[in-house]
Amino acid sequence: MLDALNSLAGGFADVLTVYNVLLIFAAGLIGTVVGALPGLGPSAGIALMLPLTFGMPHISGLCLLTGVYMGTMYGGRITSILINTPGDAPAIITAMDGYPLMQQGKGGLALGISAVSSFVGGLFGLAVLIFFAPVVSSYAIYLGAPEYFLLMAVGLSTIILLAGDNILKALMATCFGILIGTIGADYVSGQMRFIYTIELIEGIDFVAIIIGLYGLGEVFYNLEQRKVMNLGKPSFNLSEYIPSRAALRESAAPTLRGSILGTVIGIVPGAGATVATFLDYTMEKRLSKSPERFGKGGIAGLAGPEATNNASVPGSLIPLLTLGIPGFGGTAIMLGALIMFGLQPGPLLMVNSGDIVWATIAGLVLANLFLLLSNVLMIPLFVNLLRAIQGNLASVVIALCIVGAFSLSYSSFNIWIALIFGVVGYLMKKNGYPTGPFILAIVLGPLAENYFRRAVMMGQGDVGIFLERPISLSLIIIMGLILVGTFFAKRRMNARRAQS
Amino acid sequence: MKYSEVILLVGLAIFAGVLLKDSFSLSYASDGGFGPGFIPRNFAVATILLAGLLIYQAYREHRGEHRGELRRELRRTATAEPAGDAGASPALRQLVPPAVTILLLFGATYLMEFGSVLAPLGVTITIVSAVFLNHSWVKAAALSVATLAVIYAIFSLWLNIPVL
Repeated sequence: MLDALNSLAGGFADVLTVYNVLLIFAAGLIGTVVGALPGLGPSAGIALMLPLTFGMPHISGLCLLTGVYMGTMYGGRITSILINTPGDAPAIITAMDGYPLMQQGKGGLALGISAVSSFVGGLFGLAVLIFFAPVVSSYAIYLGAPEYFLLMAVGLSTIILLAGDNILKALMATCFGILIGTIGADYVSGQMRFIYTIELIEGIDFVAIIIGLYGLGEVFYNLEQRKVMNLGKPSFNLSEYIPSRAALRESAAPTLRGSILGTVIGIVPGAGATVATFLDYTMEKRLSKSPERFGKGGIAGLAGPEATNNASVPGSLIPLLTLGIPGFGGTAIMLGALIMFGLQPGPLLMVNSGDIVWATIAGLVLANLFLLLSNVLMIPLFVNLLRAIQGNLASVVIALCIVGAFSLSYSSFNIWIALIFGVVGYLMKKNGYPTGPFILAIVLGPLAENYFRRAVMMGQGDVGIFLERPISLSLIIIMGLILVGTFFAKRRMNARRAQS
Repeated sequence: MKYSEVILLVGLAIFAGVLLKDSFSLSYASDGGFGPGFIPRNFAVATILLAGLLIYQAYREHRGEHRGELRRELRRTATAEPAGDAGASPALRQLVPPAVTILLLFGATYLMEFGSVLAPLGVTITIVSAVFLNHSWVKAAALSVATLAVIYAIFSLWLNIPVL
């Protein structure tokens, strides 16, 4: 542990130059803005900044990229809360309670709580990265296809909690999501499935779906209901934007739980922040004494997933830096950047290029601190900007969604996809179909299918392989507990409702 | 019965039906495991069944509501209560703004194939602002130009995304 602290101090000594500090601050701001734009997430943010790092010293270049990565995680929540349009996939859950708070005129509070939770989550993840990176990552390699499948299945089993009152509607949304996930190249056999146009080879872009489902779907619904936001006049009264002590106390435990879960899930390659936020939301709803507040502006439903989201960033860097395994898109681009700088991610990275790695980690600590300050200070700006345009919000959201969808592949194909899912989202909202299970099925469906088929192949056609391994057996028990526990909790709640 | 729900469910059933038909060209099982047709075929069947079940459920709920309405009507006639506002249902009128916006956006996206993203988008959001958000045409046009200018500055000038 002392070694880790010494190495970190060395990292700070390298990174604390005026140039690097300014660079990290700028990277955080750029990441926040990019993350807030619909259609652009961490992968796009890092990819956009990559050319700028070509002439930079290694430490500065890596600080820029990790700062942007961290910033996009902060930024994704802004449009989620303000206009119900998640900037990226992990911010979907943020919209579930953040947007209702905004509609209640508590947008400043929602942004404040989410900024603080993001900071705590990020800091917790960094602490794990600093002290336990080599130890934790050595366990991740023991997970095989059966464990990965069951991890995804545990995620899918949480659909029952996101289901709302009508389980059939949730099942319908889930089946639809899984079918959408089957479009594109099959990763196990390499065969093409349902490729009606060349753009579908890699499947339907998930971000185009969320832009349509949440952004456009919400606009269409509000146009029908003739909903006009009444957020008041622009004001710079700071007390409106800084969370009260009671709100911070309420968010403390969910933030801590979210930080732990986010770091753990972030370490597992392939799981990613999106899965982590869904799992955390379900866990918080399960643990809450007032689960009925979830989806209506519950602070726990906002704070927990936000901490999870940001804790998963340092978590996902652990397998990248120690094993050379990128967990998802953003870290895959980071892997490319490390190789571009002449570094070889893997077990020897800490030995051969420890100074650069520790300086990057120190840069991340600084970026997290700057991001808290800049995000809290920018809350009045964001809220007042929304107040200024509230009369024309529908047009602004439509324009942002269409341009965001276009920017995914620089073609109109993803605009068509966003429009189609805008109509689907509108019809789902109008008829009380939950969107959570649909999104979860799209995210987890392809991964679960992939790992399930590989696991069965490992067992040579015998599905008993899931019961033979201790970790997979534990995951089956957890899944069973979630399903049974939720079933009885729902029955109890219905009985209580009937009595009252 | 809520027609929008039927439209959604029939649409999903058709989508699942197309995938089900095409999944027969993919192998269901392979040596020592499942093939690429396994998941799509099973879930397409489940989707179609669920769509049928939900349409039936919606129909039953509608019939229940209809019976309730009938009972209320009979009671009102018996007690000679006034019928209240017997004007046309506003439900259809409510559908106009989203339906027109969706059609405008589909049209604009088609026009984007000819080169410009911002021009058809600008026309669409101006119409939406003026007609459904109750702005004057001049104000709607000015707001649209301002919105697109900010978007152009961020996406095109800063991020080099060719949105013009």
